[in-house]
Amino acid sequence: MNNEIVFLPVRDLSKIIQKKEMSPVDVTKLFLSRLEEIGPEYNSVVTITQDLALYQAKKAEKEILCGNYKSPLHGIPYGAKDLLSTSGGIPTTWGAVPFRDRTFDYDATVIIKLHEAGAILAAKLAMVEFAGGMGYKQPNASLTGPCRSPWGKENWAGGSSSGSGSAVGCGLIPFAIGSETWGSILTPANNCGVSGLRPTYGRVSKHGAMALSWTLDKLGPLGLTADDCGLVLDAISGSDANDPSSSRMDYSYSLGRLQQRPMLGMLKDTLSETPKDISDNFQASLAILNDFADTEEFTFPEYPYEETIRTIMLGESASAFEEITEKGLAGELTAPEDRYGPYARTIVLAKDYIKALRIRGMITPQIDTIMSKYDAIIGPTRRTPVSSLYEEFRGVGRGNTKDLLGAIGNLLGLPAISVPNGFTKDNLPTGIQFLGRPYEENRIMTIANKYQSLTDWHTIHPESLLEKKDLSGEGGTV
Amino acid sequence: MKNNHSETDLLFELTRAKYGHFLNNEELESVRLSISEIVKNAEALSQVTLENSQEPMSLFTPHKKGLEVEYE
Repeated sequence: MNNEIVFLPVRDLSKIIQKKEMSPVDVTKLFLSRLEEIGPEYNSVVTITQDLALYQAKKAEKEILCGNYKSPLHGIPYGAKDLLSTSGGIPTTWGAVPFRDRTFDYDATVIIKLHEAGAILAAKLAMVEFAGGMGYKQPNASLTGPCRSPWGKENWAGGSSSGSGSAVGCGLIPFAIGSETWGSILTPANNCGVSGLRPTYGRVSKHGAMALSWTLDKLGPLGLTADDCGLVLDAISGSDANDPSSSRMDYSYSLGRLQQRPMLGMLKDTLSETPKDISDNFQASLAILNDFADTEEFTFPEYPYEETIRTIMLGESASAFEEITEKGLAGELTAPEDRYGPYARTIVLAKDYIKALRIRGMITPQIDTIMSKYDAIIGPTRRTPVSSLYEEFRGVGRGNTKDLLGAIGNLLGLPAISVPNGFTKDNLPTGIQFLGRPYEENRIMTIANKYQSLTDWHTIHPESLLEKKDLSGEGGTV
Repeated sequence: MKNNHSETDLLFELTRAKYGHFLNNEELESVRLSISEIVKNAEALSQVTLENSQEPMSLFTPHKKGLEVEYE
């Protein structure tokens, strides 16, 4: 029974709770015990919010018993990347040693919205220190140590939303919230064999989240399926007076019906310099997608996309972390490269930062015109295999291999979802991403959901993480 | 008069003057490398030609008390 619960998609778990076949308290206790027992093995967790979780679970139980069922997230535990502010004495560390004990007296908007939807905050999850904003180059860049992939304790969970990916993939939590500036949701989704959605910029309020780069930061969900990500996005999206960049466009999650064959764009030479395993898995995905969609190769115009996004990110982060830089707090960070990382970017010139913003303005309509021909752009989520815990990934990642979809997608605030699409010969997960036009999350999730309905990669979980002891019968119902 | 110092050298000297007391020699050398990458980034951006009228894509909204409802 427990294995069925632990790796159940949110939609199915919510039906069990709604039908009162299992109480929110029992569900929460099950996940709390896994967070406690398994979390430390994978360095996935910063703080288990047990008291709050049990309080919220009892409240949810009463509400559901009274017929006040709020949403599909009612009574479902979740974890939040530890850059989301939480009140009540729960630390918010930003993954950084200098802020190990720092607390806030307010909750991030996302935390409030999830509470209103009836979800239960069970843990603050591990992350790369300052969400990678200091320029880390290897996995050991967090106060909780290098976060491990559910698929290999010697392999990295990806960053910077490391704990969010690892905790979902380990079955420690049904869903999690992560953040992405450039790759920080999609990479952990890829490395941990789970689904991760990067929403359109502004779709989700950033109020109460650590800022790395104000015009690039996005918050989004990680779950077992694309459908789960949609359910969570429905709860956390919406305008917020506390975040002027939040969109006033209404959002409601719904999976559309594919009334005609979607047209999928694929970058010409998308598989060049891609290892065979990843290339083979992508080709196999293409064969499945061809059952219900058409694909076409295309090219983007030549622009310095990566240099543009990097200039914006460095310029904004130099300001966001000014106090840390000026006080020399970086010297206390875990990764050696993060101790000097913030200083170089202080020389990014204003004219170059503004030039980057102007280039962004110029290319935005050009890219949208190209993307308007397609329902989604597809590509491997990562063109490099899941790295080992001890590998300097910058050398095999962004540094050498072009991440064009990531650079353009994040520079222009475009939504993307990554779902699992197989394993390498070393039994490490790979993913496929679907990139969409602004505000078209439902379109890309519909396609990703259709893909998942024809594949079973999202239903495969590490044998070592399945419950060995069946505790069915211990939990009551409400 | 010709300047014999590269842009990287000059920006590095500025950085070292401001923050050198936080950094050891090895870290300073890494900072120099990072600065050279930032200068290369800027050079790539300079190759893109823009019209005078092409504005930065950034959000700025004048604020008037009482109109915050715009965001709600």
